[in-house]
Amino acid sequence: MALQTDIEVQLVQQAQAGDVQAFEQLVLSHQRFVYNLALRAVNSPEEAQDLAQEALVRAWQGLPGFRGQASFRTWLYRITLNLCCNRLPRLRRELAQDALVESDEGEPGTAAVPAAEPSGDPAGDPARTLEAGDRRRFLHQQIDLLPPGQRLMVLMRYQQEMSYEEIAQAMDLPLGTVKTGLFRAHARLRQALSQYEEVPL
Amino acid sequence: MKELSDWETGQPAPANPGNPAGFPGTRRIQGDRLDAAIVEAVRTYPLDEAPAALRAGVMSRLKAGRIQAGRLGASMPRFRLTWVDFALSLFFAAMLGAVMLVGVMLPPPLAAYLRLQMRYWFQMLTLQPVLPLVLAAVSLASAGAAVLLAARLAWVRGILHRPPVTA
Repeated sequence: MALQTDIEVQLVQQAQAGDVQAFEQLVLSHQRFVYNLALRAVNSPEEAQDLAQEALVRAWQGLPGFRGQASFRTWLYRITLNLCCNRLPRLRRELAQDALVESDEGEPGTAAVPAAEPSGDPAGDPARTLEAGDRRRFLHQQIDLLPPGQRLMVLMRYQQEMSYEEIAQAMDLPLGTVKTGLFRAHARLRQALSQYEEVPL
Repeated sequence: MKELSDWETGQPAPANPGNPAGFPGTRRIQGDRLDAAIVEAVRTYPLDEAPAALRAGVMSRLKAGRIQAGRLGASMPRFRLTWVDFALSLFFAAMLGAVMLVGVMLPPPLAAYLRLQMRYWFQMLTLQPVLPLVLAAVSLASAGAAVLLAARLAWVRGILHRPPVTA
């Protein structure tokens, strides 16, 4: 769970002044997503741990130069992905290409990915609760099948609630590529879910 | 693995346009509810837990005092002496010592003979016309090496470093 922004800003300032405990709080707050970013990028738990550790140490080293133009997490995720790309030189090209992997639906419009809407409360109906659980598991499997670049984008967008601009900065990709990637990821998932919903029980 | 969270929205379920009669044999959600289900699934997508050793590893590296914030820049290559460096240093030092020792311990007739021989070789090579050029080249190379060594030392000590990675 990410820390509140104002608390995070304060912790960053303390860490910039050399407060190791403040930096430890930042590590606790971000290590899970940093690790998962690396894991999704390099597909090896051992390498992901190594890269995540290196990213966090480099963040500490680079803190005096961090001017707060981007949020701390965007900056940290960018360091992480840069390290992953250094480890796997083909990764950067793949991330950009992944974003452009076509789905069978149309091209993105300006409002590429819809915001979350109320999806109904199945709590009162056991059958619907079961159905919702099945649907969620199916979608998790489909997320696993997304190209790695698109998967990273949707995770940053919906789990970290990052803006398109922040994702573009973190992944070092053009804004349009991020919008396209998110649209196509969503289109893929939508298409898969539509087919899933067509199947008779 | 993270526990899957339950549905987050507490809103009453809207009418299902794809299955208005609530036909029990098929799953039917459409339109906005498809999008909502996708967003909900992405939000509850289980992330792996960070290894317990991750935080400990980071903090032990920081607390060991080997790394100071803002020093030893992020993309700086590591400078580390290996056994090869020590072995080569030992070899060259031994060679130099041996040459000096031999020079001191040579019998006087042999030393005189070698001096004559070297003078002969020197004349044979006729280096004298280019000697100033050779001396200048050696001086320049030495000066360059000194500058590189000083820069290297400054780099290692953190006086010089590349700017850290910034977003």
